[in-house]
Amino acid sequence: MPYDLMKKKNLESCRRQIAMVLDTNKCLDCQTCTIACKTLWTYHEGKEYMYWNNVETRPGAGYPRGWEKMGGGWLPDGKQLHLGRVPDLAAEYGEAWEFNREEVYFGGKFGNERLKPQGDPKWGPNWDEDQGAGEYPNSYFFYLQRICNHCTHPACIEACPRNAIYKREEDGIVVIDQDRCNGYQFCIEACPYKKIYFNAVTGKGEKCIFCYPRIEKGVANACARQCPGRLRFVGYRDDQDGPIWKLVDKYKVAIPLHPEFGTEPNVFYIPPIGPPKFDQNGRLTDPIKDPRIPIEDLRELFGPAVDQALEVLHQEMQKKRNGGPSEVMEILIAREWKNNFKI
Amino acid sequence: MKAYFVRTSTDKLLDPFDPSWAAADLVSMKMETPPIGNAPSNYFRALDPTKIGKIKNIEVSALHNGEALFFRLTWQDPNQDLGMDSPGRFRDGAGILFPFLDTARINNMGSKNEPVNAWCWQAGIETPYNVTAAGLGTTRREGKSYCLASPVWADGRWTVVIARPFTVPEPDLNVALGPGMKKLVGFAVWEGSNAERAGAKSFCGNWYEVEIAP
Repeated sequence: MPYDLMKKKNLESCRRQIAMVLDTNKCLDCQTCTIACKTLWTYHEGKEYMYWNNVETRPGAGYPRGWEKMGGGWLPDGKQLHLGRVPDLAAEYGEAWEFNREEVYFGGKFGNERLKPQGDPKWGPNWDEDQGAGEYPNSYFFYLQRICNHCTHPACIEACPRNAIYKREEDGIVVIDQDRCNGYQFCIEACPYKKIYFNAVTGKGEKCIFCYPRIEKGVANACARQCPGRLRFVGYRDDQDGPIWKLVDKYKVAIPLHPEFGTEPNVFYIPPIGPPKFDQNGRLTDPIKDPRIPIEDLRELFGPAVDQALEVLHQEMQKKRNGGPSEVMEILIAREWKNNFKI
Repeated sequence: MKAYFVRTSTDKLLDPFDPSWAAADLVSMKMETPPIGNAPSNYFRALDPTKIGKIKNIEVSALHNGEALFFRLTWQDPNQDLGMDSPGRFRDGAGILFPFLDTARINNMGSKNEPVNAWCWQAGIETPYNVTAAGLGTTRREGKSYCLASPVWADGRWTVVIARPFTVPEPDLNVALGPGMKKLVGFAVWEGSNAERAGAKSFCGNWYEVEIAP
């Protein structure tokens, strides 16, 4: 006492920015990343419903259900904020399910009673995992991996009346000071990605910490290291020898999710190309002129930059098919998984 | 507002329906929406002030028994909001604010050189938090709380007694109180079902003076 409230711009500033690139084309939806995160960070009481990392199927409602329509983020002026709301636990996040394990495994009913969730759940993370969209044989879907975007202009920091949220100076990771947080949840309302969660046991907000204790030791995030598809890349934005700068800035094939939210994410996506379509005669069509995943769907998620990103990806794939070199494809193929990380 | 002296034990005075409370003056207060224009958050300033401050009236009484100062707050509230048991749920609450220096402004939760001390009761939590602040957004739950609370919700109404012993340590965290003193005091209430928390609340607008009987 007295306590000085720092200026928001000081809470937002950092010397370097760590970032992640995710190649949606390589995702298997195995959820190994989700479980790696869950078992490391959110296995405690009060965190049952939380998935700091989740993988959702697109087209789909996502987790929490319909998060893109819940508000938050910045107005185009970058100074005023959109009001948002806190998702509902049962209807939108989905409560953690209890299963009848005792009955099935130890109740003498093995083979007669099936393992099932108790109660009558109506929603859960990735409830619509196997739905997708479109008509056979040209139905389509892809997987979207989501963590906190550790934004450059975070709405959560601006929303907290107590300055409990800040970017770490050394790496730009956005963290919540658990001592300062009073559980007011304005940050949850303000985050347009709905990647902050309320812990009802501690009464405080929680979020992805980009595995900073691992990063500090030069080890990549659990979600990235555990990924069997080698689709995650981790490094610093300004490291021109690393994969992030090359994919984001040099080749511009990695782009942020919903750039119109105005928070300037530091998580980037290689947009999905999808398999080619079939025409009426069962022949494959040109994937550039007539992509299976409608370009409108992708523009809605990734903004107008997705057109150029896809164009470059197609060009680079063609270079490879022609037997030529492609730095982009060498990075994305990730023959040596350790090259995905430069921390 | 006068806090008369009564020869009643602390345990009994904590009961909002103890007969001793009949001896106390009843002060009706019209509650206001706090000014949000100077809130330390763009997001907070974007909130619609007409939707904040659902509780419009409270009644306050005060007594002391030589050991502690007691306030009894009562207000209508058809919903009893006890918990933050899932995201988006907020507790009902009440706060009693004292300036360390009488120059502090109630609108701003004090200032750097004019800190304030509050007792913050939240429904479902047994002991009120003892809070200090030096301006909006700076509240701190520091040190041990010596505050006591005894809430009753019945027939669509909260009646809550909040008290603190006169003699407590840490004078920089606990405002000095004692028989014969006059202190400025302010009141706030939070309606949990209206998502009221932090500066989203009803407050009494101006300091009141409480005269603690010798």
